[in-house]
Amino acid sequence: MADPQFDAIVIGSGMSGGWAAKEFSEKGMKTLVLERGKDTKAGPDYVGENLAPWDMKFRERVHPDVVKADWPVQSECYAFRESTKHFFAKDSENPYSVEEGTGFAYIRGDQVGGRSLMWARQTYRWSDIDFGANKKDGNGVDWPIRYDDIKPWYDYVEKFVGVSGSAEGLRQLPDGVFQPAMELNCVEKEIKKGLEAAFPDRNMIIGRAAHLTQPTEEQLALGRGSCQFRNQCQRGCSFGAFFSSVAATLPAAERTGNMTLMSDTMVDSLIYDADTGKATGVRTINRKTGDRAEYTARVIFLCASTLGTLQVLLNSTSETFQSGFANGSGTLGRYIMDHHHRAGASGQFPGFLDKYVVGRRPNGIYIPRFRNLDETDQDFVRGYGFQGTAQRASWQSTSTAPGFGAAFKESLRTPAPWTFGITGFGEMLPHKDNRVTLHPTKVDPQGIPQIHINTKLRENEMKMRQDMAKTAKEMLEAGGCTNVESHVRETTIGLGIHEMGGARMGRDPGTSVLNAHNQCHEVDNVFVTDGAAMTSSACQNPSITYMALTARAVDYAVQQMKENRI
Amino acid sequence: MIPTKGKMTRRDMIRLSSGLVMLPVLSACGDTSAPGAVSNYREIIADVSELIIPQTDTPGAKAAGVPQFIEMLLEDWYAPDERDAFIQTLAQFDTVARDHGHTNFLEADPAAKIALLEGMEQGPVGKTAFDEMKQLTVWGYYTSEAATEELTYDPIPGRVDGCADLTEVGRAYLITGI
Repeated sequence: MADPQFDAIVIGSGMSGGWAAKEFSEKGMKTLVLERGKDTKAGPDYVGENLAPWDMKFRERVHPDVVKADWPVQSECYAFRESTKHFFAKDSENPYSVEEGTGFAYIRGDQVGGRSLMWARQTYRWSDIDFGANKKDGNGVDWPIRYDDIKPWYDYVEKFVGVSGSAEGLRQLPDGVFQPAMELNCVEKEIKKGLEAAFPDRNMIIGRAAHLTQPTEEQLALGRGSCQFRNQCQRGCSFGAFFSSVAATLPAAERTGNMTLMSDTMVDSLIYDADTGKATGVRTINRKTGDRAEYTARVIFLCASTLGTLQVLLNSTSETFQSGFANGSGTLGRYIMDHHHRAGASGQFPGFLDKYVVGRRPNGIYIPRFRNLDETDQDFVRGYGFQGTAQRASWQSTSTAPGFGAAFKESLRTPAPWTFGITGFGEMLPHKDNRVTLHPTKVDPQGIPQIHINTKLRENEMKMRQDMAKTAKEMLEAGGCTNVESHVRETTIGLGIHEMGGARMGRDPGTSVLNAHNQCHEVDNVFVTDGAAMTSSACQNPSITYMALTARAVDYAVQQMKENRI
Repeated sequence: MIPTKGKMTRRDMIRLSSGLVMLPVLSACGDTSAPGAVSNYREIIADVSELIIPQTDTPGAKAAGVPQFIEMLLEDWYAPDERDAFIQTLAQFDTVARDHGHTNFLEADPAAKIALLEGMEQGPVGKTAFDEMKQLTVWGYYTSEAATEELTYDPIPGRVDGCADLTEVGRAYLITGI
């Protein structure tokens, strides 16, 4: 048999794929990175960057016909605009299926860098409250790792990524390796005082965000620079100031000379050799030409994002794996989670009318989880965190006032009074029946079976949402806000844009797909390090955890390769 | 795929995109003749937009290209039936003017026009026409380059200060993010 063409194949070039590319390449491994989407050149492909509203025909709005034809689901995302839509995958070209009577909003990118170009940059570590949760309340299976296993890797990735944040000493939200924190604005500082005085076990802190506020030599050497506070990140950032694969991990990989990156290249399935018990490579389809090609490697890392990875695994059937790759447990595709949100509160904050802001902070406040930390004392288990901002709105809001003419125009020169709002991100329990499968008949334009999603929020989530609205209101009122209204809005799973699970890590091959090293229990040269690996969802934004798991898994894989064990 | 919402018209999307509340569409009163061409209302659109956001010490709607922007929207943004409905609504300006003893809207003197618009804003007669023109004018003006003279335009702030004096900044920001 011929030698494998590559040491490693990485499927996906986003948040986790970029890290696998960097780590393998820097460790001297010849690495093939396969990205289904189009190429992204930092700068030239940031087509929306620096556009003024008047540069766009409809002034940042996207025509309804265009939305309906190409982006009916993506347009649900808060970041979808004329200047950012080039990074959103066209729904018209990327169909997926949803079980009748359920909903799923699959928000994603379609380019080198994936959602690392589109994310909100919020960066929070997990603690053992999170890693130990399944064992404690019996939902899902026990994580095969704890904080001590991942801490060195959080340290490692955060240093490279560049995270601005404040050390707070909170046991439920471990401090990270931080560059200088952005600041709360003066109204947020006021609200914090009242909130924390009324609720001593709750904290309001500045968000921890993957933005450079004090670039390191390493970051400068990659061509990255300090954040310019435009808050237009999703258009593309030529300063490389927020972390993305395109700004950071892929250039680092590129510099080693060990990476080959192929864009427009979809992976259809893994090639499995039952005699050796290993995956030998991947089958690919070029999206532009339709050409098919196979590539071989010693080790394969699936970093195609949760549903992308699950689609490949479910589609990689064989005599040995009739229900999906490495699916002896029968759990492949099951225990899908997201963070549910759209529950929170908003209100006005009186005074401070002589105060305003300079710059547009691309970050907000964060209220870390305070519910059920040690004991469960609510009518639901687990918990939630809040994100939010205090601000003074501009003409978009002040122009709704009655009037017209010179006086009206003059009045819009004054920003609106301060308002403050928070929205919760709630943990979703792993449930067996929240699952994805491959549709039996529907295929995508390349002929690959569509992913079929069947998930719903259940009792624990619904009870938690009521509590989210309640505590949001009481905290805003304690902070000094007036006319506070809380809400629990109808939401669709997927809108948290933190979909995860389906190929969970676990101690027992009978009830999980991956072991403590993100390695398939049943196929030792295949690893999954994106959201599909997650055994529970916690409530913290998960990207930094995917990055840490990826770097840790590559380190393990390379050691194993050097010892000829895989 | 996702739970279906009620069908939104493009006029609704304009209202939502300006951050404004969705308004009920009142049936046009009075004139029931065919809508006709946009060009019949070119002067009214220009006149009304300038009355809503006039030239002061900074450009007004006309100098900011708002009338052309509105005509472009009618051509390229609105669906045909919505376009016809809006043009029909524009007839309210002349209807209201005639109800107050003027030949038509454009013939009234400036002070009279302002009084007519004030009445239309109160409603019910003419409220639909006024509200829609106001929303379009605001959207077209505050996304125009001319508005950089009217409000604070800071494309690359370079820094952030969350406790600045309003007097240091001066006027509200034109841009607030993506």
